[in-house]
Amino acid sequence: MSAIKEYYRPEDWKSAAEILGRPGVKTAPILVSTKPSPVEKWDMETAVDLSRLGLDYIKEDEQGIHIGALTTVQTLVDTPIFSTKFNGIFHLAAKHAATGGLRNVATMAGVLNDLSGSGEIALTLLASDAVVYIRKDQSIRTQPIAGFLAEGKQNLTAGEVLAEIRIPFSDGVFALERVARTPADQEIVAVVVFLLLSGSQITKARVAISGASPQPMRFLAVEQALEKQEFSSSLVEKAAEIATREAKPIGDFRGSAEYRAAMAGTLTRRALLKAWNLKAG
Amino acid sequence: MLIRFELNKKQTELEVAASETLLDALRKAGFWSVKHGCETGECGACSVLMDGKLIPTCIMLAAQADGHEILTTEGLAEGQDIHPIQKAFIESGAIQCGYCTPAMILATKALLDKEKYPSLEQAREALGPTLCRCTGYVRPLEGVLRAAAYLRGEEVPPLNVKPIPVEAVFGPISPASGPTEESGFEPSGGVATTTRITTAPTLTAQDTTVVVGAPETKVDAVKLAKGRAAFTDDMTRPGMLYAAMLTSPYAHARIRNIDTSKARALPGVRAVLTYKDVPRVIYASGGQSYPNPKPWDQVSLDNKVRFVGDRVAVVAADTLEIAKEALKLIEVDYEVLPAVFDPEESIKDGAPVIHDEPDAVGIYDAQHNISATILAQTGDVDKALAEAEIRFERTYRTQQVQQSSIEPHICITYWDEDDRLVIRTSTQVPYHVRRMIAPLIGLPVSRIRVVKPRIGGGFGGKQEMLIEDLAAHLTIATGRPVRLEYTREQEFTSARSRHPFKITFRAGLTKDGKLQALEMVAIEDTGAYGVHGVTVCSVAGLRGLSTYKCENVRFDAKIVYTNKPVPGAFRGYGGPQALFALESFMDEIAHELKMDPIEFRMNNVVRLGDSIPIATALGEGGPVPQVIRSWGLAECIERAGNAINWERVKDPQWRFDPERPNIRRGLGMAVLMHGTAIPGLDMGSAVIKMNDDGSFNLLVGATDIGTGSDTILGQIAAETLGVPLSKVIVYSSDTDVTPFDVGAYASSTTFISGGAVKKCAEDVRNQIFERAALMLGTTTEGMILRNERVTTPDGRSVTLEEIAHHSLHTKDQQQIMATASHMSLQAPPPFGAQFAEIEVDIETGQVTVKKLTIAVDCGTPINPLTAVGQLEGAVAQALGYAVSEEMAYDQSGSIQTRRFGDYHIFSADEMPEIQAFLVPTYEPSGPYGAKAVGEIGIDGVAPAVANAVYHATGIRLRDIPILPEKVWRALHQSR
Repeated sequence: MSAIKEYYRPEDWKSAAEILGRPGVKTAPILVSTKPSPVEKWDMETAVDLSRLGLDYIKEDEQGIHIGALTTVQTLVDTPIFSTKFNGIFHLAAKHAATGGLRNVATMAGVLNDLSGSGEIALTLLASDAVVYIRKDQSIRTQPIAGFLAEGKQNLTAGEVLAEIRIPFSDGVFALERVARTPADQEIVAVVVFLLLSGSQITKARVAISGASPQPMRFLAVEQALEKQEFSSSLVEKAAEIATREAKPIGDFRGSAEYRAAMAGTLTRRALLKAWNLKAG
Repeated sequence: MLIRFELNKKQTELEVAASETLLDALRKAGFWSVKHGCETGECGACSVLMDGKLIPTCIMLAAQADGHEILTTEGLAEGQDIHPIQKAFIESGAIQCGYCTPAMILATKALLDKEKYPSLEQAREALGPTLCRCTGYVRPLEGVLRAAAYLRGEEVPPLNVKPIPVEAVFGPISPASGPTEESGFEPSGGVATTTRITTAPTLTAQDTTVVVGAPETKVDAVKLAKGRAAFTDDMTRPGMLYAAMLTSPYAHARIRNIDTSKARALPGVRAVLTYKDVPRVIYASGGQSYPNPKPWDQVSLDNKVRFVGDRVAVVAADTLEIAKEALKLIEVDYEVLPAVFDPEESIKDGAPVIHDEPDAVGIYDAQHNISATILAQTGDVDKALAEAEIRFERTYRTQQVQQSSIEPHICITYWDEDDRLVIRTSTQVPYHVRRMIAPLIGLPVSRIRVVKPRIGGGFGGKQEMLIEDLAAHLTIATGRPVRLEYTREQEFTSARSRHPFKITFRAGLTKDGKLQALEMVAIEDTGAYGVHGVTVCSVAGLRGLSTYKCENVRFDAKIVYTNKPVPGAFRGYGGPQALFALESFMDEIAHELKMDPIEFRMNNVVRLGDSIPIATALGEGGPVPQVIRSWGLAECIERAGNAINWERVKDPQWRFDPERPNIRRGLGMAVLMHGTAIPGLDMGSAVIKMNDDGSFNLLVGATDIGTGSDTILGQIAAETLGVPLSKVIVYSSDTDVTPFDVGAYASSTTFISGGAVKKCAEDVRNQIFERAALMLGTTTEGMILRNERVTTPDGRSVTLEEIAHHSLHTKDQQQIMATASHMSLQAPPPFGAQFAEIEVDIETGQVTVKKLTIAVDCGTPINPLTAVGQLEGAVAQALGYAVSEEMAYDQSGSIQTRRFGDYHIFSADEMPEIQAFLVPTYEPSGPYGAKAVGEIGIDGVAPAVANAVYHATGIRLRDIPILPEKVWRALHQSR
């Protein structure tokens, strides 16, 4: 049975901060992920609907793309920029995240609040060095996505709201690889890589993997092995080996820990080669 | 709190609770088209359009709708108007059970509001959010494209289905008797097959049927397309209570005590029942004929639990929320016992004894958890194996999967004004429920009425008395109506599923590949209770040992208890397990012998006129000898093989893709042979009465679970009575009103219930002829009934309306009506061929099925549209069985796949291409030549895919589902 006793839909940030910051009342914003819990298991006593705060937007400026935190996952699928830029990985990741109906209600804030069904979206944000904007009334702070995801819900203090995700533009190239039971099933393992190349030298690398650790994360050892190196097949093999070695997966019905670790390497190799080929192409 | 929003273009105010979902609020307000299928937004049955976007309402608070525009299916077209999308769905055969139809129609609207000329890919995307377990999405996708054409104002041609030529006579004299003669029957578009057809000796034969063989729209399609209140839960009763069930958190435990005092004290709680409160009556819950097969090892509520999800207690309260809150207040003192989950461990000495109760009846060996055994043999298998020139042995394993009907189990029980208990329930077996529940609740059958409204999918999961007894106990305890519905999670933890099998085949052959001996040894996991276990196993033996001609066959099986949720009936009923093993085995033998797999099969397969030896030793209702009297397998192989371009199997280069070096392509196939009904056991009956206007009421006990059986039975009646289907009003499955029928299972409805309808209609037709003779002053000799008119050989005629008026009002008044029953000792097997084209990623092991083709000889397809729909839907279910679906457990026996997102059934946007073909033959024992089509389509995808994986990679997967990791491991081992 749902614990919800009250429902609020604040019209402005001040009200939102007041409601969310009330002491002694278990209050939380309504954040639907792509793998939502049944409403009866939502544990807040006061549900706060943030839909009037104008957080459903996608804007583009010289800093990159700004995604309002209540932008739905389907909007990522539908918005052309996510198909044309970043080698289309945001479009793909969003499409893989859930069915179309769920994508219409799941929001970016919901996804970042519960990564269990949106591993690939998290990977795209990690690989693109996204930054999250956290707001309380008129106060705004930022945090790199990697830190935000690593700290989980502890990031937000009472009254704070995840307001925006900014994805910086980059000259690099992205690639996404996945394995799943069926084309539309949640990934067993997925890898997103980003390479910034100067000629054949990798000046910056991002390798983010889901399904190979308790939650989607960057594999820093793989990135370090790649950066400042000439792209080569042996380097790719080395990166794949490190990915497998560094994997700390939890096995389940989709795939065992051993398989997941192996796939971390296999898909890292593939994603690196795909990125390289995209760059070459 | 009060919310205001625009609902179906009308400003609406609703009083809702803060915690209430939009789904609950809309249904409470009477918008029944919005369906409950899950609680996590993953099935999409609850979807509406909010501001033009499809959204699942089960994961939205009602309060969030405030200020928005909501459209439900009720808002598309008012009254008797039909929206073009609804019309297109009805015409294209997109509606089977209809439970997900309103959501699909809204999804279509959302697409077509944006895109006038949608591509197939866009249609697939649009339907992606709405899970459908019936259709395989093929017809709904046609519905989307057809709807788009309607909305563009285009002329849309009718569906192009040729009439089925049936050599049957529609005269009055002995229509079912007469000399038997050989006749060449040329099915439309196919090769000639020789069938033995019974024809009457006189009168003018009609060379094509009018209603039988026509793609009639389903008789229930309009109400389903419009989302009208047609299902069990689409109603409420004054004073209705809401029930919730407490289930076991342990796989095996004894309940030392239950304290319900706190729960009972909770305001709004009206009853709490545990094993202390209900009589201990031993039963078996499978919806099967009297007497239910043993073992009888269940009671309504027990002091022992045998799997995680087993019943512990049940509560009725004023609201569902209160009922669920009360569950938390029930204090259970469990003595946790060791549990066993592997059937091969379960039968060992010293394993935990799952059924140690003294009052269970008919358990074979409770100390070793053996529920039952089967040993059936013909010929001398040991001798034939010993003498065989070549011998093979392989072992295969199949997994536990869930029926996943989108409508959960749901029933509403109440006392009527005569103090009779009404059970309104989503069941496949209303008559069995009535008979079986009576002793449990202490009421005579005469005081129980079971009503089956439309069902949102069954697939065998509702061939069961699963929850009706609990609701009835609560109604008896409280005197009030009680509604009990499973959550989606309970569907996985506490409903039924498919039995996992371990099957070992041994074969002896001659050097040239002729089968001499075939032995099938099976261990079946029946979970915590034996329900359906022995009969599923017997069908597995029948299916595994029928397809190939062999005099020396043996089936040796153990049905074993484990502490897992209980398998039961699931479409195919042992067939898919057996055929995965058999058709993989045949493929393996063919390759070992370096023979073409099809040629090898065809050298051994049973053919027209052959008997089936194992049927003399084994049968669900006992052995009944069987002879093949219709057989279209060769053409099935040709049709489905051509459709998949089977010739590519001979091109080794085709397996490789130069652009994708990690991909291997493969083709595989399987021969299909299923059964039609349980010979000597299944029975159906019908009543037909004539109305003033020449229309007819057809009353049948047969249970339409979305398959279209109401329509098919109506077509058989209409054909026989010379009227269009619209003149036959079909009412089914109400134990107070309709005559007995065993229910919807065993691929029996068209054959058995249809046989009853045909007999009944023939009786009515004879009465019509007699009345016409009276009116015209002649004899019935040579009369023809066609186009709602009786015509004499000299050209005089009277209409059915005139006959009805005469019989009811004018002279020698008589209600023209009849009743008839039908059973059969024949169980004519449908045949078929399944082909699969797949790709294997040899680095990840991921198997992607690209295309599935199936052709089935189901005799005369009474309705080709619904028949093809049965195949397409079955193939889609079979695809999940082959590659992804599996009920997975943790080490404590707790199921891990408790939601659609984790269990994952295929959605429209990821389906491979499916092509299904009908290969008509004429089955002499079936109504208008029909035999079964409902289950055979689920039998062949798994072996066809496994065989295709072998073709692609050279690795043989002998256990399903064929998950990426299994392929990856096999590939690594092979290196």
